[in-house]
Amino acid sequence: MRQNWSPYDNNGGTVLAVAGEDYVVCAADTRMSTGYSVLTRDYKKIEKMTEKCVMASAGFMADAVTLKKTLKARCVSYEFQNNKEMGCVSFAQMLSNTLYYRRFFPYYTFNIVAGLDKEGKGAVFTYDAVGSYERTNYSCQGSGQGLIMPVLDNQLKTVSPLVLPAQSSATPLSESEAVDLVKDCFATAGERDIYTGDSVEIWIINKDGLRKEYQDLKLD
Amino acid sequence: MFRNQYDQDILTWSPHGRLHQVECKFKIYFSLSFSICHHFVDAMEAVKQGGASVGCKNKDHAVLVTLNRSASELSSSQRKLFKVDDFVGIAVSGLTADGTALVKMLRSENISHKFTFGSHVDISRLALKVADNSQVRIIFDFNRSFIVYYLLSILLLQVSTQRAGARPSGVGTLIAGCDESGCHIFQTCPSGSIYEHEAIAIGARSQASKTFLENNQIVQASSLNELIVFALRALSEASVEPISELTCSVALVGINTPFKLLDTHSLSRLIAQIYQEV
Repeated sequence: MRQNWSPYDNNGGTVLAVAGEDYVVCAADTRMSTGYSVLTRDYKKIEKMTEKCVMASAGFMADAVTLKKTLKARCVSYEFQNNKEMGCVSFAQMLSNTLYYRRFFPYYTFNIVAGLDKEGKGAVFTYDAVGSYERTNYSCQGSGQGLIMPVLDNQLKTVSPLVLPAQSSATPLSESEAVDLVKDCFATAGERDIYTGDSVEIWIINKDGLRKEYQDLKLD
Repeated sequence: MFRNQYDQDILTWSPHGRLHQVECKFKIYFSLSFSICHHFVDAMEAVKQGGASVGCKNKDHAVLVTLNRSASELSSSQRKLFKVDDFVGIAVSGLTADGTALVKMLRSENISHKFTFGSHVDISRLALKVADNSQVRIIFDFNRSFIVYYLLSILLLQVSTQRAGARPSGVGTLIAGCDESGCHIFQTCPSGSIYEHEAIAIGARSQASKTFLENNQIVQASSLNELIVFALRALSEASVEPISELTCSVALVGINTPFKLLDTHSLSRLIAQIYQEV
């Protein structure tokens, strides 16, 4: 008969990102749930951090919101102190440090950072809850991860960067092909994962800036 | 004539209702084996001797222009215009080092406020924060124990000119910002007073600029270009030689225009406009 209060809750949802030669696509579903109930059908899980960098989080939304708020304030501070906008790679490192700072009471968030690095190439960084991160070409986090990741591996996995002669490790897909793939992935996850659905918000960053697309998913 | 009696510490008022350490020059000579001259520049004087800054506004824009001094022809000039928030900027006159510290404080207060309340700070509140900052420094003064302080500093062979709360900040500021209630220009002094203005000039020879501003009031419906040219004209009154894009800076902010510092190219075109029309 033990009462069990947990400081955490899982609000579900899936986020994913794909990096290309000169673009990056970041997408998240817009369903927020708790237990077996839906809290809202249009919750934004992606937020812009700088002109060239966005952050998407799945997991516990209270932690995600606070984390994004803190990091955004740090970005503003950085700009004042260094007279330039914070770059994607620096932001990725900062997020990792921020997460590890709370190693013993973590932010229950599974994050993806997507942006263009200073050469204009697409960059995707994927995190665990305590800050371990890696730069990759594509990644998926959240409740639909298990359903989507194998699909991305099948479509996008490239040769190891250690193989010689050196080959570009960026996704060979064009921007529109990548966006179509992302839409298909969410439709797939939405079929079987109860926490993924309602709609998908897709952010595309390229040299022309940021644009968003929306795709409806099943409401069940 | 009462100065020597009433300028021993910052907390004493003179019979004329003045705080001499805030207003007047104050030197302490401490002769020991090392003779250290501790120079408290009078705070308000510091502003009056600083490079001129002019601020003016119309219906939907506010403009700040500053005259920048440089140490020599080969040096860069001091930065006196700073962005505090997307729609707020600040110009400083006086000890610009103090100005930088002040701007740092304002920026972090602004970020903190945005984090807690999700909205930007009111411009009048920012001016109030500057005033509060000055007040704290004037009140919490430890000069009463300055003998001990001097002994210590001599021992350490280092005389710091500034300790938190030990002297007034030597900088006057013009804070310009735009929000839903329109554009505002606030002036702050080292004493902690705040004034709101339609147009104002501070710093060296600012009286000439002020006279110009009073005699030639800007029309509220004027364009942004006209406003900047007007401000530059006022600034040129405060300058001994003709102003150029190397010696002055312009920043503007509007109801729908985020704070922006003009680049030297646009600036030189605008300055050319002043001298052409004359």
